[in-house]
Amino acid sequence: MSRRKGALPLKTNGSAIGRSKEDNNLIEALKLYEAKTYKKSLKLVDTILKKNSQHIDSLALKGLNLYCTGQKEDAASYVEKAITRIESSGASPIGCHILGIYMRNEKRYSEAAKWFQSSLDNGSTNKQIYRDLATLYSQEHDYKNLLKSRKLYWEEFMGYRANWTSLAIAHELNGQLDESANVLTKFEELAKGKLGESEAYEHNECLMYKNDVLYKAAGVDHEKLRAVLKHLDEIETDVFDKYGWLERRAAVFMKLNQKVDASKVYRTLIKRNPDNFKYYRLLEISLGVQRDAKLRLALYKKLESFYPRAEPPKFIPLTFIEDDTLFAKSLSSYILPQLKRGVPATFNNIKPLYKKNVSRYSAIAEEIVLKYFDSISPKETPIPYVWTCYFLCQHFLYLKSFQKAREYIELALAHTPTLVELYILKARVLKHTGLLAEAAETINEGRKLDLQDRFINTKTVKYYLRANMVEKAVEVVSIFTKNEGAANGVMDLHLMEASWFITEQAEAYFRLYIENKRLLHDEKSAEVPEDEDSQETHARRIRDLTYETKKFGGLALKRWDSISKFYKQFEDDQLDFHSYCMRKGVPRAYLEMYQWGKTVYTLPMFIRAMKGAARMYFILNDEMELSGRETNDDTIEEPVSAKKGNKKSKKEAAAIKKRIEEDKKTVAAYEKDEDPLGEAFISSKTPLQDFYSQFYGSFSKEATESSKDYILDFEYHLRCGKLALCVGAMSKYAEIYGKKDSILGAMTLCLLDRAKLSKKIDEVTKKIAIKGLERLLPELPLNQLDEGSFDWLSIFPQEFEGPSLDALLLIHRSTVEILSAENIKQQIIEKLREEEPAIQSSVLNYQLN
Amino acid sequence: MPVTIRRATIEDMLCMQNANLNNLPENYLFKYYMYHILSWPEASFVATTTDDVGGPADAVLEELAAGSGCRVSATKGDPCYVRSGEKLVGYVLAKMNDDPSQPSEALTGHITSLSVMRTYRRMGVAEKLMRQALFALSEVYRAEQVSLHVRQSNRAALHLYRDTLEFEVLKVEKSYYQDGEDAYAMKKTLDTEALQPANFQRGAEQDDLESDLLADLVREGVAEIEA
Repeated sequence: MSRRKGALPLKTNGSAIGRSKEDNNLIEALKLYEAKTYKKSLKLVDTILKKNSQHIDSLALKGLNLYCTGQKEDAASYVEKAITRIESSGASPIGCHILGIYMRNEKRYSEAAKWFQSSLDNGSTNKQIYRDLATLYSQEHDYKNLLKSRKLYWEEFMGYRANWTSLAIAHELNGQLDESANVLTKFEELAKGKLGESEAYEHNECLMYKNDVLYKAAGVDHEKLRAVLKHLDEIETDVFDKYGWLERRAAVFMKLNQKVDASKVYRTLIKRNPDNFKYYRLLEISLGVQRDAKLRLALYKKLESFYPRAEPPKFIPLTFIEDDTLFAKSLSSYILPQLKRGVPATFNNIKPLYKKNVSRYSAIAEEIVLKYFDSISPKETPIPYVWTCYFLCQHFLYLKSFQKAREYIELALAHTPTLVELYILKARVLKHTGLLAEAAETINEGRKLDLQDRFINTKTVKYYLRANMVEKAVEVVSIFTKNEGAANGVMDLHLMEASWFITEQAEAYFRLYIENKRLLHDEKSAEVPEDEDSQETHARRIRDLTYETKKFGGLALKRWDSISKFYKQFEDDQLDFHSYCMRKGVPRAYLEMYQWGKTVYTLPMFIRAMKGAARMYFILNDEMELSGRETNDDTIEEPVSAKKGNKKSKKEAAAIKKRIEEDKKTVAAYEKDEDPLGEAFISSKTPLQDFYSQFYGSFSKEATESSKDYILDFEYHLRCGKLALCVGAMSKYAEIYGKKDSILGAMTLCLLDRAKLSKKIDEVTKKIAIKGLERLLPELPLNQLDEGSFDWLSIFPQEFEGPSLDALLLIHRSTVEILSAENIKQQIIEKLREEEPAIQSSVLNYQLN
Repeated sequence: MPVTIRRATIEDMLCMQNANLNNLPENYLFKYYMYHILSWPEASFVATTTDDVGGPADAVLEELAAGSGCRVSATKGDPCYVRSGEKLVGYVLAKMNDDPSQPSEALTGHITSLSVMRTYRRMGVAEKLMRQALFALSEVYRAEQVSLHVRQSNRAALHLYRDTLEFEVLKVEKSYYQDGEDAYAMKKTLDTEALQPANFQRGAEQDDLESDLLADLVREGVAEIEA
């Protein structure tokens, strides 16, 4: 799927005879550029510029050639020059075209579109530009201009189906469904009887696409829906995508309330894929049996006799059988065969039942499995024995009976110490009890039993990272990576877009940052010792800890930034497909990608990185605010210089330098990277802006009302001093979680704190915010705001539930000075008693300092 | 819920890439996954859990590990999750042969990658995924045969392909893999009718797709079936 990037208009206006030497040379230079011989092209351009340093097209082409040879800064300056000249003396179509290509390479798509458009406006006759424009407008979601350029291109090249398909899609994106269908129909008429076998697949996709359009246009109009059905019948023999065809047919029947017809289609679908849960659920609905438990069960028995090897007919009845005896019988015949076979996911398969009603389902399952466990012998039936232990461990882990969970996994391990899965589970139990290092060592034992399996390798790495054992993690992960030319696998994992690793590593670095910062703080606040030797140790320790703290903080931000870069890449990855999919003839898959493409910055792993980075950037911001100075001026290279001229200190300085160099090698994420330790990130003077440009800006643009995170939104705007926007976030939050929600109470206190005490926020802003708050929560004792003695925590539980642990933590990290920090801390510790050990230690270690 | 098998969409591709990175040494850039799903949209399949959001304790732990607050967001920040409650545990990534350097008379499908998370093995997930993919390659893309490579040391995979799915070993390709291991090049001839997934259910009876299911059930006696 290579695409010729930037085919240039070699034929410029006018004939060769009337052209200047400059122009002729430029044509030659363009040919050299086209042939990817950038250096030769550059040379020729330079000879033109030597005679005429202001030759616009040459300036632009020089920029483009420099860009292609990796000299991006110089490229930018020549492009700048060309643009300045154009502003004063006008443009040629060729110059504009070159600039458009440059901008597209730079991923500045809207500017690229502007230059391509100028090229046309200035008289370019190169119609291919319309297609390039369409690609750019697609990427920018500019539907109006997309339609225009698709149409102009289609008018020029009607002989290609791709152009009809793209025009139809452009119509659909503009909400013109009828026009879209008409374009598709017109092509079908023209092509009737002329399509060969090699075009049959594309034809099938386009026919189904037209049915999509008709279906969308039909809405709930029965007459139109019947037309959709008729269309389906007409295209049946030409459509290869039977799943798509049948699913559409069933959907139309359901909308027309022809449920019996729909049920037959669902039965056909089940026959094609008996393991798709969705078809069974839809069959139930079409048959109308949901309320009749007996009939419903009978239906599933029947389906099971048709499809004995399929999962849904076995499982779904468990979700609706009310009678305990019957349920126990069914559950037993669901679970026990799996235990006998040694299916690792037996417990996971029924976990959703536990989620639905833990006391009922867990009690019944426990009774069944314990009884079975008593009936088997470890010697005669080793496989059922060990997998039953495995099941019981998961069962008790779910119920948080850590002791019992531990007992069963130990039984299993004593029985079969060679089974990898047992180590994974034991590690999970240990993790829940807060023993992270032990968990990592345990899973590593399991890994050693199967060195070929990457799954267990990955799990082990994750556990090492959770235990902050980064070096060990990198060592293990590097077993499966390509490490040529690198100290370890970190670079390869970046190259291969391994988000899981980079995210986990970022989080480990963040925790190490917090730990080292605390140690540094302790060391700094310790008394300076009297004797010289101890003084030196003290100073060295401060110097080391300063370095480590900064290093880990920088690396955390660096890794999160890599995640942000991946998602930018995923967004850019779409570019080639705007025209590729048209040629390939896959309009439906293309539109799915197009819709997906509008949500990349709201996908789970981007959000996870964003939230991690938010914590770090907020800490940096808050520290800057508190100290009132711009912190972090000391660079990593020279941490606390020792006495000069001292031989010992010289030696030490050399040792430090060596260590930094080694660190840089082991953490390197990219081949050519001037800042492998992320110093620029951690030393930033503008943490909030950095957060916005790396994460929050893109997220906010794509997030919808429902996918927005209003707590994060609140915390961000609180730090920006935009209190009105804070109130906005609160009111959205209240719409979802209610006005009594504990977090809302915490937000209220944060906001009141800033309104009362902040010096950097002006009075008008404060007043507007308080007014907004009053409207949102009229019961608040806002008249107490000017009093010094009011206990603001008393709004819990009067106005809000709680305070919950989350609410207290939000207050804690927002430095709310109208409350006693010490008191909040005590309350958090109190609350933690109800939590499991893993959560206790996580909060104590990483959120309470 | 347990595992459901369905056709893959663009929304699954990041999770598929993650599963591949978790399970196998041969990895691809995201764009290569896009290229598959946008060139042969009907050829690839995924196995996902439905409605299985994990225990509340798990969710809280994940959030804490992620360093964010305690509140659980809509979709877990776990690279396995396609959407809330839906975790990808296996996939098959398939394509048609489009390599111009290997022109082939017969239309040939190719299995680019197949894997199932270790904790979801022994449930026949890989077989079910493969059966759907082979059926699709044959029915939608008119593939007459399908090819794949498998590591010589991967006994479980070899068993699946050779014994269960009836592929034949064409030859051994020396040092096919980056780490120097040899591969078996395997091939299977496809026949759409024979590939119908229902053929492998060994059901006691067949759904004729026409008769009135409910009337039949009532006639057979609901109470009896229940007992």
